[in-house]
Amino acid sequence: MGLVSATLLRSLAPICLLIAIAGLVMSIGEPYQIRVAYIFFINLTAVFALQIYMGGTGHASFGHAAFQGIAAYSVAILMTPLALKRLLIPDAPFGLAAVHLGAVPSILIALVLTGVIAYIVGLAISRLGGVAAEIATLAFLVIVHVIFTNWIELFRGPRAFYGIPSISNLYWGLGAAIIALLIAKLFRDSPYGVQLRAASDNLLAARAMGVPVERLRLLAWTLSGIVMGMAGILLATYLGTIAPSSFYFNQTFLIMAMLLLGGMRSVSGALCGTLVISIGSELTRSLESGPVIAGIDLPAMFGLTGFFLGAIIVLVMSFRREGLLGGEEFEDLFRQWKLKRKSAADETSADAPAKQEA
Amino acid sequence: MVDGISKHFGGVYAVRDVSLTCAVGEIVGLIGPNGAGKTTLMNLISGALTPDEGSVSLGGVSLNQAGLSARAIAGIARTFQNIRVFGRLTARQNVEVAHTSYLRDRADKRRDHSIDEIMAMLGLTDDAQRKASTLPYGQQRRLEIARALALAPDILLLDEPAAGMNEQESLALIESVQSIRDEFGCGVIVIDHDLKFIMRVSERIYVMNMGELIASGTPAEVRQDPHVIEVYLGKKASVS
Ligand SMILES: Nc1ncnc2c1ncn2[C@@H]1O[C@H](COP(=O)(O)OP(=O)(O)OP(=O)(O)O)[C@@H](O)[C@H]1O
Ligand SMILES: [Mg+2]
Repeated sequence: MGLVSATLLRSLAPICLLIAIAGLVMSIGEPYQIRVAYIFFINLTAVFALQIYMGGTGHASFGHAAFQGIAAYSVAILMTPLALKRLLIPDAPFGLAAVHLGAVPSILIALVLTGVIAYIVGLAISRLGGVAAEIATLAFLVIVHVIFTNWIELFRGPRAFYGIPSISNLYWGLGAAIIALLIAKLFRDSPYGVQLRAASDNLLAARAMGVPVERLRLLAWTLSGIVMGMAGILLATYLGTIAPSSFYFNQTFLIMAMLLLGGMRSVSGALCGTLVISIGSELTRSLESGPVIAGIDLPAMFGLTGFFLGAIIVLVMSFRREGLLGGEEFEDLFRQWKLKRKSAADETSADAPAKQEA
Repeated sequence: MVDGISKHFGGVYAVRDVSLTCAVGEIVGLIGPNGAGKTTLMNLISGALTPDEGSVSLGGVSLNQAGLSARAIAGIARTFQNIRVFGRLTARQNVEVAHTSYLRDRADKRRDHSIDEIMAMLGLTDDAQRKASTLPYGQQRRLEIARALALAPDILLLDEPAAGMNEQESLALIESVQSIRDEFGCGVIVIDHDLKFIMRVSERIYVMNMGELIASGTPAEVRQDPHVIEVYLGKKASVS
């Protein structure tokens, strides 16, 4: 069986789950829930993107929200109607104030641009090992943020960029999340994905096996940057309004917690962590506004979401480094569980022979 | 193949002016007491360390400018004394890592062995889908050999492949090494500090002590060498 068909088959269960979520929310049809589900799909796409890089290399990236921002601002600048742009960014450089493109070319250009920037930045980051690479990603996040907030002619600075055509709907979010899932899974199981994971397990042995470590890191970084760009485009074309703060520490922190909670080494872990935190933060959000539970009027608790995310990162790092799924995919866990059951059954049927060492 | 190579750590030479050859299809033994510099020599050959002096070449082509992964692709494959399997990957994926390098970069693909053939040859078929970190010690050593073979090397370097094995297992290993040589047609350099094991497996032997080469020749010649008797056999006799 080819890699693609095998990956499709292995991804069937999570894809069905995502379709079920979208179907359920649409059948209820309440705008608030649709919005929550859409944002879930944006974050899921982003976490899959982050998984491609972090799961492959074993290095943390604090810079991925910047890719989301680059793609979001690209579509914003290209797609927003000219009349509005004359108001928002009348002095845009490169004649961009007079450019107005349709959705498809805007999205394609945004993805290509994000990919090119990711590649160039990746040339530097892929050569660094471990902590140095991680710090460089943080620097990248800050640099991009500084550019967004200070290049006022092009990005409007810290003020919101609004009026982007809201052409997207829940099915876009669903589609993007499924595409991101398939890319992440295909990459993980591909020969190069396996080589990259080998290098994160044992760098010296991987080099001794001819693994081109830097080139593969660059590949993973660029690919995950492009997928992250999809998440940025989803955001811009749904909300219609973006600001530099949408792509900074809060977002970085959120997707990092989601990935770490589920386990960064597997795509299933990414899905699992995003689901748990999305549900959890909806619950805490309602607590923040001080709801009435069983007749008791609870006080408003602002900042609870941030506290909750921080606590998750600390707890996972101290008690379950590899995340909820321990770095395994759903189907691998299922296979191991079946094997265990089978060997347990064999043992009892063979009238309990000598205990086998695991 | 290796000419006048040296490496020192601080003021101490770990390997000093060592020259060594290994022909394709030959099994060469490298023996010496603890700290003799065997592993350091292997690191110099495989490109894990850069020498202070001397050169390494393969088939007349100098590899001095090539790093570890470039040499792996050029045809020098190795195992590690302290096991370094890719623990999170399955046994089969461990072999796949090397096979991918081989498929991508080797120009000549004459010795085309599939991943499954190589695993079968080393008795790893039943463990193919197990995670490498969960394999028993001996299987992990075999997995390292399988992985190195998937590069279709011209020279295979084995650093103490028999470490931790009992008499019976090391006899089986000797047979494996010989059939690997026959099947893959590669040269093999085997390190060990057990003289009996090295005598059985190799056709030619180099003896190292304190970073220097003190003797070389056929097993029979080396056994007669007064230096070897003094430094190595004498020491061994006093130890055991
Ligand atoms: N990275 C290093 N830094 C400093 N000294 C080293 C290093 N690697 C090896 N040495 C020293 O070089 C000498 C040779 O070590 P080496 O590991 O090559 O010996 P060996 O023959 O493989 O021994 P063993 O039989 O114990 O494996 C030893 O004295 C060792 O302490
Ligand atoms: Mg050694």
